[in-house]
Amino acid sequence: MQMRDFFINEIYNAAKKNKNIILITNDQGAQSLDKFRKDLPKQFINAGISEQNIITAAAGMAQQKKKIFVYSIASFITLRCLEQIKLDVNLMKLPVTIFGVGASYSYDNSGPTHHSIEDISILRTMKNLEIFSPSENNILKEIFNYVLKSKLPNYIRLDRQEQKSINRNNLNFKDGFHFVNKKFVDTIIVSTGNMTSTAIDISKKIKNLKNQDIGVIDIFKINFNLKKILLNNKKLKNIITIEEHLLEGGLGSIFAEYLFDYSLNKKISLKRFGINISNAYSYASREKIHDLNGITVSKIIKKI
Amino acid sequence: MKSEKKLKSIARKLRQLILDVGIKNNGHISTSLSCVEILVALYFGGHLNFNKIKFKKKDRNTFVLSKGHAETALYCCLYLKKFISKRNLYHSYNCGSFFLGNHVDHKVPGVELTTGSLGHGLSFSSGMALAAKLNKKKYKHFVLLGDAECSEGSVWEAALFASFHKLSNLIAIIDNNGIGSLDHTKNFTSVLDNFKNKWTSFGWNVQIINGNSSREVLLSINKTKNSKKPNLIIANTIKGKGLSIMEDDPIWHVKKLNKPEEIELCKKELDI
Repeated sequence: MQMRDFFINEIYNAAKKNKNIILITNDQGAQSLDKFRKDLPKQFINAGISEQNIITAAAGMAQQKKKIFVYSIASFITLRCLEQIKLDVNLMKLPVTIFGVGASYSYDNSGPTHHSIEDISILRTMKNLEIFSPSENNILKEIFNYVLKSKLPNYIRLDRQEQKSINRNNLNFKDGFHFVNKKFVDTIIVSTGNMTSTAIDISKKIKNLKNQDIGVIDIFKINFNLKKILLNNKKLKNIITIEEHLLEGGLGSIFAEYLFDYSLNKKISLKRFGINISNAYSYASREKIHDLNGITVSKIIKKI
Repeated sequence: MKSEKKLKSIARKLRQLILDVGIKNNGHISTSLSCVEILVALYFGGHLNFNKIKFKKKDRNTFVLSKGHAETALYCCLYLKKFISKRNLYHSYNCGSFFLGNHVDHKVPGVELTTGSLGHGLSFSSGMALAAKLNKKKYKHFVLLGDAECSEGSVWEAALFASFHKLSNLIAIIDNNGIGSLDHTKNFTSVLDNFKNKWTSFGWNVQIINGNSSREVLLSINKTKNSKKPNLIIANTIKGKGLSIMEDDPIWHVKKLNKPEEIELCKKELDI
């Protein structure tokens, strides 16, 4: 099932039991939404294409104890209304959940207007906002349960395409990451969202080719406990980050900042794979974009 | 309703405080002075009749100062309503003080929303009004906007939203002083042309009043009682009202009042 339908179904089930839950959208549809609109019309608001108003009105409703979910295409509900998110939701610390479909290049052929390859860099500057980047639906389910109870504002970026399930244990939301496989090895790949399946493939291939164990860490919450990743594993020497997001300020950048700030860069090497800014705003299929930016399984293996 | 004489006397007291605090803390004096009677009507005319303890409860009327640069007026008002101490009032805007910056901050008791960036308040109050309506609460939601603020597109997004949801519990007041930050509004925007018609065509119940009269503000609020639409009160005001050197002069939006002779004249005009 597509992530957005899975998530909307979760909201639907919760909203049936709790009249305070309201779903607002900017005229954006989804198959799963039809049921919601039909069965719970008083808890559904199509506010029209007006992202600035939607975010602030959502904040106002949350101030009056409503539990608000805002649904849109990721690129529109982040940047068009950035100041509204910063001030009315983040600064006011109101429990609004913004979920955007179309993380990274999910809307590949729709072009740069629909790409969301800078949302992590930009939104991670917001102090109170929790950012979630699930790699598959089981993780998304746990994220839903978490945000439903959360008193903090949050943003969830959802891939448009269905994602394969991955191995996981119970998620720790203070950590914000989980080990997909081997924990204590000298090389780990860190990835988020749809790229976690690429990371897993790389790890399997390297095991077959070189009989080398490579750990994979899936980051599901961008405000994650990085210190724990670095300090718990005494063998750690190499970190490889993979993201379908601009390298500027993204996941790899979070590691680079930390390693440099705490002078760990001499002990631990870092290789970042992601979208090169010179390739931004290109129109192509997702596969071609991955190839262009060197973030396919084979191209990454050649460089590590 | 308090008598007109009483409201005028509170307005006078508020003006004196705004001048005094504004000079000491370098606040926005002229834009604060234009909305004095509006704030007096709301806070002392029975609509925002709560204290610090009642403010914490959600079951009450709300007020958002969308034109957040009238911070001095609001802080002085909240001082008169005993929300904040004199010490805090006179230490506002200082580095490290509880009262941050030259704009309204929600951490100050009695303040609903941090404002200072324009075009946020109407949406926020619309959201509160819609939630209250869904919760079947009868409370009113007031919001004060600047006239030049209406150049923001988000104001009109909110205007459509409020009208579609028939937010009759929403009362927006526009401090129509005819001046933005740099200049008279007529010199740089057509947003105020046919202003009443613009709002009427967006589905609002509109009144035009003299905003420098608390009595008129209160009467116009009373007239919204049976409204089925969101309510707009275009309150015609004079920026810098009460101080001859500031009245209707754009320069005083940002200019500091620091020349001794000007301070003396202003104080004399307000009987300080």
